[in-house]
Amino acid sequence: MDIEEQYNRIYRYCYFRLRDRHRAEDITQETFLRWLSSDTYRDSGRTIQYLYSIARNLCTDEGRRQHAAPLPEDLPMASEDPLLSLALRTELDKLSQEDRELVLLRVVNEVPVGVLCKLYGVSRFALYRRLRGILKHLRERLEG
Amino acid sequence: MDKKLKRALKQAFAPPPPERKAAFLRTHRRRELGPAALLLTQAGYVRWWTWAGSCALFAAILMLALSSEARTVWSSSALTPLLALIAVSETSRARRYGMEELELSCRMPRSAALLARMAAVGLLHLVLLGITAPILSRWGEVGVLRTGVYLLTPYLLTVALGMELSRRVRGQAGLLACTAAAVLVCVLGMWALSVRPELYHAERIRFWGIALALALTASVFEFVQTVKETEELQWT
Repeated sequence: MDIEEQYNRIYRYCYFRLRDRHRAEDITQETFLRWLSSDTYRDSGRTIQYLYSIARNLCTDEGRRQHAAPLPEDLPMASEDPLLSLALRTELDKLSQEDRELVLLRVVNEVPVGVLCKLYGVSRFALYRRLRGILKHLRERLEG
Repeated sequence: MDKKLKRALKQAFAPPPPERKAAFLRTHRRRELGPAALLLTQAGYVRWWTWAGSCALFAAILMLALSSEARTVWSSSALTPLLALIAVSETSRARRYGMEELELSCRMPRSAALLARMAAVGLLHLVLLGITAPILSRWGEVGVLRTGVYLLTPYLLTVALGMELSRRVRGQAGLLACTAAAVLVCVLGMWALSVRPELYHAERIRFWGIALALALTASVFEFVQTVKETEELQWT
């Protein structure tokens, strides 16, 4: 497992859950510290699932303490099509937190479907159907 | 999925770059166990007599080949199932003694440990058979490839049968069943040698090739099934 790559992905996940750069980085590092200190899951081939489970729980705890702020204005914007990126961010903001999280994990962080099923406790069929529905909704909103 | 949408989503979910990543990763590194280290660690858990028995059997095969005239390869071929029996008895040890749950609680995943131990014993046997084939070929009249086919076919057949039986029959009865299978393959080899010596003629090598392919397929299948079964036993 490429730890640097996973660090970036976990950090991205935490950032879009908490919407605070410093808190997201704190949670990312806490996630990795817990993983590093755990012997149970060493080399067990379930590292990604384990990392996301820790990050998810920590983000939930952090979210209970302090509610997520709106996304800051100075977020890096796409160089290719900034308008599309802006429209997409607006549409993503309208989604429920869990739907947004699912799109981020599957499409952007490319978390394997099997891992997501275990993380959410749903079947592959249910996960595919839900994801297809969200993406269809986003496409329609962007085209419409 | 629409590539444009996927690209746009990736850009929409671009966070500001992390500030403390480099410093964190510099100070917190986890030592991952590589495949070679895993193999060496697990080879240490293989019982000494598995190594000693394999080497002794290798010596016996060579001695038998030296003592018998013109029947070198065939008689050696009939002994390789015993080598396979040693491999199967080693890899099914935890199951035989009912220690699977204890292995599951170890730091290493059971499937990885089992794979490493199978690979360690299998590599030794491959090396031994790899040494035996050219020696027997030089002593006899049969080419190296043909010798390899005669040695590998009963070996792989016994491995496949042994793994299947050790998966189905638990406890010491499993070992007995594996031994019976190895002896059966041995006896079949001896029987073929005395009753149907034409089976070992050069023109029959095609059938041996098919038998080898079938035995190899069966072994791979059994190997995958065995590893899969260890995964099923993981805690949920």
